[in-house]
Amino acid sequence: MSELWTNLRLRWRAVWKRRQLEKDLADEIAFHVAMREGDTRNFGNPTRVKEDLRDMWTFQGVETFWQDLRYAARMLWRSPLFTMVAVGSLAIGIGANTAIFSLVNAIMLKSLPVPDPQDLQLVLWTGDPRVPMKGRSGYSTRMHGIRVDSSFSYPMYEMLAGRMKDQYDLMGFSRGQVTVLAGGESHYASALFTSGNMGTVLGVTPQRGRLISRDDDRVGAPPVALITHAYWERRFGLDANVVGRDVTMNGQRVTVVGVLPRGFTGLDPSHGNDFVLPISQIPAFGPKFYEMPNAERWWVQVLGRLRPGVGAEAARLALASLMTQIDQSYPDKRERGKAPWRPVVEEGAGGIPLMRMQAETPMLVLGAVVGLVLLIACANIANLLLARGAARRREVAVRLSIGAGRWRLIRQFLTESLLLASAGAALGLVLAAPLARACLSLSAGNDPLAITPTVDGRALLFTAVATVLTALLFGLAPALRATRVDLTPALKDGGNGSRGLGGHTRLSRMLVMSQVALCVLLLTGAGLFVRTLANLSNLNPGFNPKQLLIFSVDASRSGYEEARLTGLYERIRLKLGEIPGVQAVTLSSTTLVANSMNNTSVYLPGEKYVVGKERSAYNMHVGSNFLSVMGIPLREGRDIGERDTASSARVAIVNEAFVKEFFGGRGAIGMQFTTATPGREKPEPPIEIVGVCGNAKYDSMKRETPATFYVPFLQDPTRMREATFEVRSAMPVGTLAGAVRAAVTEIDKNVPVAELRSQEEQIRMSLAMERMFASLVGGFGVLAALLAAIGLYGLMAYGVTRRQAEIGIRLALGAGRMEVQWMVVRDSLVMAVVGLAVGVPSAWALSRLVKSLLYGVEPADPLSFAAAGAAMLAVAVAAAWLPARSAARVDPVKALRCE
Amino acid sequence: MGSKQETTSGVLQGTLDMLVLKALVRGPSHGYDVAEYILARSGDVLRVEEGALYPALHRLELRGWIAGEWGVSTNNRRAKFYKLTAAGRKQLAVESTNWARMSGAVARVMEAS
Repeated sequence: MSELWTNLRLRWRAVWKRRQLEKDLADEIAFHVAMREGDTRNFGNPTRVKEDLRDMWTFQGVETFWQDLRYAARMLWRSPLFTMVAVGSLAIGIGANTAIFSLVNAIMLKSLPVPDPQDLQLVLWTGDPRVPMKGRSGYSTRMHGIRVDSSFSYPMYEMLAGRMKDQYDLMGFSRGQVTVLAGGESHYASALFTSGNMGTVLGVTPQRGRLISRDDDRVGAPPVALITHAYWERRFGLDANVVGRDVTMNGQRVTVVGVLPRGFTGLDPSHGNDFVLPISQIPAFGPKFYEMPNAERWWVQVLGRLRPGVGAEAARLALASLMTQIDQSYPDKRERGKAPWRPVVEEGAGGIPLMRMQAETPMLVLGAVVGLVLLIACANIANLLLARGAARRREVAVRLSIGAGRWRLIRQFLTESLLLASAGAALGLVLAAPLARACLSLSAGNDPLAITPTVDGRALLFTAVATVLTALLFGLAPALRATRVDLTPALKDGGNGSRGLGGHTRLSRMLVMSQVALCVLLLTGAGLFVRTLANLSNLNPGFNPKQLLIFSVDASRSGYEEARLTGLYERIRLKLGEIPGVQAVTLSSTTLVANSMNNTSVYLPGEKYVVGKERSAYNMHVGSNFLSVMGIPLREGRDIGERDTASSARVAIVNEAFVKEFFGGRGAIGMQFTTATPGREKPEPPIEIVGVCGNAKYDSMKRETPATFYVPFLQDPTRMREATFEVRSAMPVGTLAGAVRAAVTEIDKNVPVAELRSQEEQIRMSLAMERMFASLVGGFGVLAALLAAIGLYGLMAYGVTRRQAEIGIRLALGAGRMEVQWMVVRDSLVMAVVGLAVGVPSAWALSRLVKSLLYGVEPADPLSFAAAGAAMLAVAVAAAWLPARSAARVDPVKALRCE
Repeated sequence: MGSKQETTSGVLQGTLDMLVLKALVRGPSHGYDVAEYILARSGDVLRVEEGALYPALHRLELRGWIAGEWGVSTNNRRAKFYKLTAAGRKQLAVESTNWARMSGAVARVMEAS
């Protein structure tokens, strides 16, 4: 073993000291010869001995590779234009792929920075529980084709944790926003609430202080919190004495007991947390809905760590049987045909998979797009290499005839391809990081993602593999083709003749046609996405978003409740109205077009209550003059006004969709409805409809406006939490922002202002994904068209050079210049048409896969297809233009003489 | 130099390696010295061909049994000196034992009549 090691070490050193080795060998032999004083008998051939020795010291494969590499570098250096085009297009292709991979890596593949993340299991459930549930919070989603929910009640979590303790160490957690007062100014922070066993489940080591213990996780324990590294840096300037300090959170003192390790930002890598608190502090800091002892409120999510030596499948089966047992101890009140309640255990290594699931489709689309771009680039380079191979036929023939093996030559050609691909990859890596950042910032919607795509080891490995595959993809066929040479004619006509090239041209034409086909896919996609964005941008939202400043406030986390809360909001509304330049102010319980919504059951008087047959509508709590401030047209009746107070009769405005759904389209004014389940909750006074308004977009531009009713927020104080204020003013947002913040701070400095922006900006942000698709697919489509144009141009130009004699004869026989030009352009058009014939049906088939990402445009949109086709034909004509002109300028006499 | 002399082409490669190792037991020497030493000690019988000597030296060096080092020879020229390493010493011991056993065995066979 050590022998082999010495050997490798010595030889490896020699690789890097080639010159020294050469000199040493020469010196040693020279010394010997000198010692023998000219007597060279028996020495044999000194050069031969030296060569034998050198072979002993060098790695034969590496040596040959170096030789090939140097040769390849020389060859590429000699044709700088070819090298530049090839390396440039590869850089774009490989760079784009690396960029998308680094995003996929950051979002989909990375594990939480904890020890043994593969042992973490996320416990979710599916089916219909018999276990009573009145409302749940947490995500529900479709996974593996079934609907999956994430939350349990706290008592249920405790029972599962206790009974499953031999299989799992189960941690209950939840997330929420808190208000923190620091330095006379308050801000919102995001908190993760965990059970006291976070230390054993997650296994993270705090960089300062300690973690949350079981002792902290008791009702009545003094409130403690951990902070994340980012928050420590942002709010405490990395203060070394932060442990033991108090912060004011939702008006209460909380002691910081530890700082989490850098990199650990909570359980959702895309939305980092600032604080981690014991779950027992939920009553003080979490939403009111989250009641710990209440078994009907489901809000606890569960992450577990498998106990050592326990198999994941065995543990899952045990959990499933326990959950079935619990479920069956309750009477069956479900309708027939509903699926039984059972757990869905998912790998928890990546944390909460919400972001991953949302990102899946965009990542697939972008991955496909950059893959196509790389393919097109490959086709281009393969084509260039084919042409080069044809030009190097003489060189190849000479080398073959003096005894070089064909495999040796193929290796030489492939080395050249690998060198090209590597140069492209190196440049691509430089492009990758900015490109990935651009994708992220383009796609950042209402919530900027806390993701930093980095080109790490895994991304580098991806790039390396992609590079080698790329090199083989574009290099293999040309290498095989170039080394299959019929020696005699190749040597005879000096490699510039016109015979024996049919195969190469056929392959080239096929490559160019497939480029056109691939290009059509991209351009059609680009057309569909651009039209989607245009449709959404030009959509009338049903209200006037211009000159409207919005911001949100949540005083419920600063100790305000019910009537005090609504009173505060009303005071803020009136105060804002006093700012000079402000025309009108109103408020609503949700921001418009921000993907958040409230909906509730609606019952008309006399309607019988049937489980599962409830009708629901979207609702919003709004301030005075909501319709007129927002510019929502009033169709009938009146707007909500100052006379609608907490003590006056309950009223509502409904939109046309509501009238249609509940009253068949007419006669809603004066009618009444209620939102309380008849006979199940304490009765609420009925709500009278006093106005009908036009349909205004609610949570998203893409969704048809749902049936919606608007009620005065003062009349429903128990359901009011956060508020979004809408301020109509001609003043620019920047100017108004300061005055708005000052007004709120003057009323209560504990109430922070958040998400301050214009309503138009809000709508723009909600279309971030569509904008990203339109710009990236569009951009790459243009790039692909450019690459295809280069491919077509190259082939046409080469064809004209090759066919000079033929063109000369045609001209001599009386063909017109125009005819010759048309001949070249027609050839290019034929290839484009064949490409289209393949590309259009493929695009038609594939476009259906992105149907869910489109708006107001069918996957088989004729306009997008026509535009893509026309663009490709234009590219074909443009690419053939210069070659056609040079064909027309052929001098028949010269051309024929050459032959 | 007469019919008595043998060139190492007739000597097995393994034997040459052993002779080279043996020649270096006295201390570091350059290639020429090694050849001269073997020639002298064999009573002018074993003349090591340079075409075999140097590959043998380099083979042994690459195996880590001897180490090469550049120095200055007595006549003030740059020369490569080889010295036995610990591994080489061990190898020599193994080979000497083998050789003794083999040559003894061969001798006994030849003596038998």
